[in-house]
Amino acid sequence: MDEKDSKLVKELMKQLKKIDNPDIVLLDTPTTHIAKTNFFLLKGLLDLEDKKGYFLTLDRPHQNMAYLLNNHDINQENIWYIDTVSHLSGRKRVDRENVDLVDNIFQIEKLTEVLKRKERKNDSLGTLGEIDFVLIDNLGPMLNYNNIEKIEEFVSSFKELILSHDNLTGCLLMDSNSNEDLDKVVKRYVKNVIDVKKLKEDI
Amino acid sequence: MAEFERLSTGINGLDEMVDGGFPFPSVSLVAGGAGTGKTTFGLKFLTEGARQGEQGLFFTTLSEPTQWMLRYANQFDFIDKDFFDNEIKYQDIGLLVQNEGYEELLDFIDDKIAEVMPQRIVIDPITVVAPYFEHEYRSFLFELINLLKNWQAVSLLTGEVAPGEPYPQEVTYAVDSVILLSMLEEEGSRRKYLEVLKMRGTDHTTGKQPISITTEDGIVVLKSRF
Repeated sequence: MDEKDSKLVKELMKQLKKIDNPDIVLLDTPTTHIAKTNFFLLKGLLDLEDKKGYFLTLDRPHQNMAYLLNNHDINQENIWYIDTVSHLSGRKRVDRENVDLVDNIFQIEKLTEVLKRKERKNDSLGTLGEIDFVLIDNLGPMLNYNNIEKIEEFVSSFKELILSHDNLTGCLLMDSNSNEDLDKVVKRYVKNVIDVKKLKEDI
Repeated sequence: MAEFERLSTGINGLDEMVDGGFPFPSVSLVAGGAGTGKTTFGLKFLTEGARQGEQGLFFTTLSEPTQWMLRYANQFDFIDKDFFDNEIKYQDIGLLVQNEGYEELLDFIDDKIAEVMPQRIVIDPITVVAPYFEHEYRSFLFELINLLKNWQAVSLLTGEVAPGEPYPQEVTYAVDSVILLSMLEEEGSRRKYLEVLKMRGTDHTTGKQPISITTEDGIVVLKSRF
C-alpha cells in the first residue's frame, strides 16, 4: 500500500463514521477497483478501527481476501467469512475456523436467513448483535445467478435485518454503471452513497 | 444480465474487433512465433492500464533483469519510464522456474499478486516453463489459470508457438481468450498478422488481420486488405 492508498483507507473510515447506525451504505466503486476497495475497507475497519464484522462474498471466494489480509499482516480474529461462491470457483478449500461455506448463490433472497441464524449462533466472533459491520463484496455478480426481483427481495430484507440491530452498518459495494436495473433497485433502499472514485480523485 | 466490464487492450484497432476490450476479469493467451510482438503486446496492454490509473504486474520467466527489459522497451515511444516500479511492477520469476517446484512458483505468484493487487497482469512467456515441469506442466497451467481467474484482474499469458504448431494447445483449452500473432511469407516479404481465435462472451472479428509494429504505437491493427 502506498501513501495514496493509506489516505483513501482513512477517508473511507471518515465517511463511514458520518453514517447514523444502524443503516446500510452503498460504496459506488468502478468494477476494476472493487477488490481493492473491499481490502481497503477491511484494512480500515479491522486494523485502524478495531471493529468486528462479517464479510459476505458473492463475487470472489473468501480465500482471496483471507490471503490478501494475511499478506498485508492484518489480523483476522475479528472477521467471519460467509462464502457463497467458493464451491463454484474451483478454489482449494482452506480449513479455517472463521468461515461458513454456503450454497445460496442461486437463491439470493434466502441469504438474509443465513445472516439471521447469526442472531442466535454464538461463534468466536459473537452474535449478529455483537458485531459492528456486514460487508458484501460486490452486488453485481448476483445478476449472473438471480433475477432482479429476487435481488430486490434480498436488498430489502438485508436492510430490515441491519436496521433491527443497534450500531450495525451494512456495507454494499457495486459499480453503479454496471447495470441500470440493479442500480435503481439498490438505490431504492439505500440513502447513503459513498462515491469511491471521487474520493480517490480528491486525494 | 450483467454485462462484462471490459479493459482496453491498448492495441490500436483491436478493441473494435472485440467489443471494446478484454472482459474483466479474464485470462487470455497471446501466442505467436519469435518476433511476432508478444512482449510488445504485453507492454502496451500494461501501459494502457497505467495511463488509466490501473495497477499492472509483469512477470518474466526469462531471468531477464529489469534493466535489460527496459533497454529494449525504451525503443518504443509509448513506454513511459516513470510507470516502471510504480504503476507497472516488474518481477523476474526465471530462477524460481528453474530451481523450484511448481507449487512454490504458484505460491510466489499468488503472494506477489496479493502484495501488488494489480488490475492487469502479464506473464511472459508461459511456455518457457514446460520443460522444467515436464509431466506436471498441465497441472501447473490448470492451477495457475484457476489462480489468476480468482483474482480481480485481466491476465495475459504469452506463449511461444513452435514451428508447425498452430498454437500452444496445452494453454488454449483453459483460457478465456486466444489471440494469435503470426508472420507469413508473401510475395517475397514477411507480413505480420493478428487473429482472435476465441474470446468468451464476445462477438469478435474472425480471420487474420494485418498488423504493423511501430516504435510510436507498438502493435497497430491495419485495415483489412480484403
